[in-house]
Amino acid sequence: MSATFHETTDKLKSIIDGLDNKREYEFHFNSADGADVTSRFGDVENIQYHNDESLTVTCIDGKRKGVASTNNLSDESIKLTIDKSKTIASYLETDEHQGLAKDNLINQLNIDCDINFPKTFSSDQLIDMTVECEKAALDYDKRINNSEGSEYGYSQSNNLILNSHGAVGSYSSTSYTLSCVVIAEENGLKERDYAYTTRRNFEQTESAQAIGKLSAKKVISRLGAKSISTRKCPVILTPELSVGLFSSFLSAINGNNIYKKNSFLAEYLNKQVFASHINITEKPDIKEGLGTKPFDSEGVKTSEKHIIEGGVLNTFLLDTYSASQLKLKSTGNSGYTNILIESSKKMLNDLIESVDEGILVTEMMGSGANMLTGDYSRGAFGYLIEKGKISYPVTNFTIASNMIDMFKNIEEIGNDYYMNSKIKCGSVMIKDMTIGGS
Amino acid sequence: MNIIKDYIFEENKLNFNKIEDIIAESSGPSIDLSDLYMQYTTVESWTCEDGIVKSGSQHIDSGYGIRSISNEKTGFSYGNNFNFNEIMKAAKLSKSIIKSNSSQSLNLKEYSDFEKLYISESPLASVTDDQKVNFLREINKYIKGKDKRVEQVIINLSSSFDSIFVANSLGTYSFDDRPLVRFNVMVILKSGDRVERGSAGGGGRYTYPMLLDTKRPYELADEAIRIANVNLTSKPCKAGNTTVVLGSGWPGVLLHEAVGHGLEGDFNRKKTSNFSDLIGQKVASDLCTVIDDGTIKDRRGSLSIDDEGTPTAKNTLIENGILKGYMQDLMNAKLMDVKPTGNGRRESYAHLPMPRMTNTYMLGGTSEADEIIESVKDGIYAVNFSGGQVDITSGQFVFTASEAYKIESGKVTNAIKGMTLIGNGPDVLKKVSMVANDMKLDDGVGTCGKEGQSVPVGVGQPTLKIDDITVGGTEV
Repeated sequence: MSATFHETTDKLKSIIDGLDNKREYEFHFNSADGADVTSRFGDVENIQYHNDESLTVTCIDGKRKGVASTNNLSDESIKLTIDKSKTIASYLETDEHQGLAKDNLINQLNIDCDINFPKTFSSDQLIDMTVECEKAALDYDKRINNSEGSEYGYSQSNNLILNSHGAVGSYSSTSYTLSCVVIAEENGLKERDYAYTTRRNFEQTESAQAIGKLSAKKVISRLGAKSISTRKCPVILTPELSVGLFSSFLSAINGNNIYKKNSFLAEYLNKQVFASHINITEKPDIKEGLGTKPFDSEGVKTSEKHIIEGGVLNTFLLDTYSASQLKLKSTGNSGYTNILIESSKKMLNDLIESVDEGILVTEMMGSGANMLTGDYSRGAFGYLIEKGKISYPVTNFTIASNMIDMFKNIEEIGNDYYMNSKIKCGSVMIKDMTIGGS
Repeated sequence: MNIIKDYIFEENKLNFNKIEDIIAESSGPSIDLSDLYMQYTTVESWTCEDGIVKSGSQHIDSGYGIRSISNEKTGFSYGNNFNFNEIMKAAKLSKSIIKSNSSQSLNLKEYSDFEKLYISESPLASVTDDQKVNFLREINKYIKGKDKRVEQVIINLSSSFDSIFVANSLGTYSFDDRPLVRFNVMVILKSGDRVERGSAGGGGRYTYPMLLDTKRPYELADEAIRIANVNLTSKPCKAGNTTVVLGSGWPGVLLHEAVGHGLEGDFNRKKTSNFSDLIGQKVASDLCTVIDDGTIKDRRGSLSIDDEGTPTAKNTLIENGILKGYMQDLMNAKLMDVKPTGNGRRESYAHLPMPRMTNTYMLGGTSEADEIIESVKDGIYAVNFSGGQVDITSGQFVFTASEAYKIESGKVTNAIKGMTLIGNGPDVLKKVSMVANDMKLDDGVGTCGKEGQSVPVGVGQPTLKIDDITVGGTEV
């Protein structure tokens, strides 16, 4: 943690302690610094240095909530921001559910939760990694004839919460990300694909070679894609896409969507949402976890919870406000941490072998997931599976269903865990989806 | 008023001599271009939900970004502290991409002779906070009174005011002030077992009275109810290939994705777009003329000057089906040896500029909209879309409709739900077989994302017919 972050923490603590007792206040302070480097065709293309900080002040004045933020941390600017939050609150209408978090608050500064692994690099080191990564991709196959380059980024961020009910908490974290995007061409048709790795600890990131090769392998396998006819069939989603599906699920059980009735799962508490073999758990304290957090964005301590057990929805994800709306208690979920989707311990190959005719979907496009109705309809790219084997790449088709059906129709979850997300899950096999093709 | 000129300069004891020093520090013999971008932005947002105006927020974001370009290399550094010594440090850092210490002195001149396309006034202060709250309350009451099936109403009023300053090693500096207002309504209707949503919104580069003192917010509220109501009776959509008629206005978002992104200069310099090296060639049917125009007064996608200080322009991208040119920023224009087109945009001081769209639309044709519908035996009429995405290398794009109908024997019949269009940009444009004379721009709500950067844009198009395109849905 940098000296300036400590200084700002002390300053903000003394300011919030000195504020009036008639209103409730919350300070949220973030700072981050780092760098990003991109190289293309063996030479550096971009070097960017970041350095951000921002303070958000929430004021609750008689059940009215005003929010103001600034990235200028001068005494004068902090004072103006506090005043602005008060003024905004004073113009609003009272809402009986407004209030800051009061229970289960964090009370510890500089919490070490094994997600902070600072490391310094010279810009030449960063350039070398990206050049090596892209070279591994370009050397893989002659058909790879263009590149968007390879990018390396790292950042360290610091996070502080204070509120007038006694929440005091801070922690720091690091992240290291390497990616590569390449383009391959065959018979005048071009395809692009990418690979990346992101970790809390530099030592755990995949090697530049591995990422370069993976991006190359992915783009080459896309060449020669054919169209496919309209049909109903089973679909296997790669781990990367499964993460997207489960993040739609998590959004659908977010308390703020539930009380607004803006969710297809609003009436599903304690009901069967998934097939009975599915268990979903939130684990906030995984070492080096991308979602690891000691407290949520309101300063409420995070805790382990079994969100789905035997396919049944045990709890919504609630912050203080949505909990009050639903007459429940905050679950420390102003945001969520690490989510673990338990697998049925099969390899992706086992899943593919079990399919007589279906599609392995590797990319989805567009925003066709309707959170209100659950209707799902998206563009896709993938591979036709025939008699348990990958047959050829397929493109220009859509996959559609309703998420309620999709969740119930998940037959298997592979053990090929995706490591680049705070949602940890494997490939997902869904029994029956509609393929729209030509 | 420009907050950078009137406030930030004074508070930080900056003057044009010091700005010259900063630019000199970031430039040098092997640097093709360096620039300093300073920004002070205030954003506010007010939301009415459950009939209560329950949330309000204001955010101030200010800072500077400095970059040095040498051939295809860019060094970039940014920060929030406008102190001269801090900016000088950032200038050094941004130039460190070129291993050279020599710098270059210069004399800066103001460039202010561009046409001002919007008022230089902050929307935030254009009406009182009380008036904003009362307005939201009134719209809420109006919607609740209009339809008993209303389950939820969320109304948002927001605005921002951007003061920017940009100076570069070519020797010029400019100021610009950019107001932006946006109003949105979302309505959920419930009827029997079904719930459906409808939303509508509008806005532009002006102050609040331009919107609040008109009937427009009520029309948009009506529109949101209408769409939710249509969707209550919608039926599942049949998957497969069919003829699709796109409505005028917002469906131009398809043009933005299917063609627009592929015509941005950076992708074409790197030859990663499927439109690379196709200037002068046929990329669409004769009926298609596509324009990107940043100069339309008060529009959401317009800018008097882009974020590099180049005045925006009306650029013809495709004329009668022939590809005419790409959209450029300074760096890509220089590398491709063409003129900049005023499309150099950035989300903020903390992001690098790149070629971006402004207001992108297709010119009207000669058919009547009714005549186009009548010509379709069996197909789909898509009037509204909720969003889309494109892979600029393969040209593949995807769109999801938020309001669409079946066309049977030349007549628009029942509404359909969960419809997705998927196609390939140039393929689809070649299949445009009828274009109506009803060109319309959208209502002013578009936001475009590219490489993690969001900027406000406009889209537009006339009613048009695509002969054969893949449609996704749940029915086989």
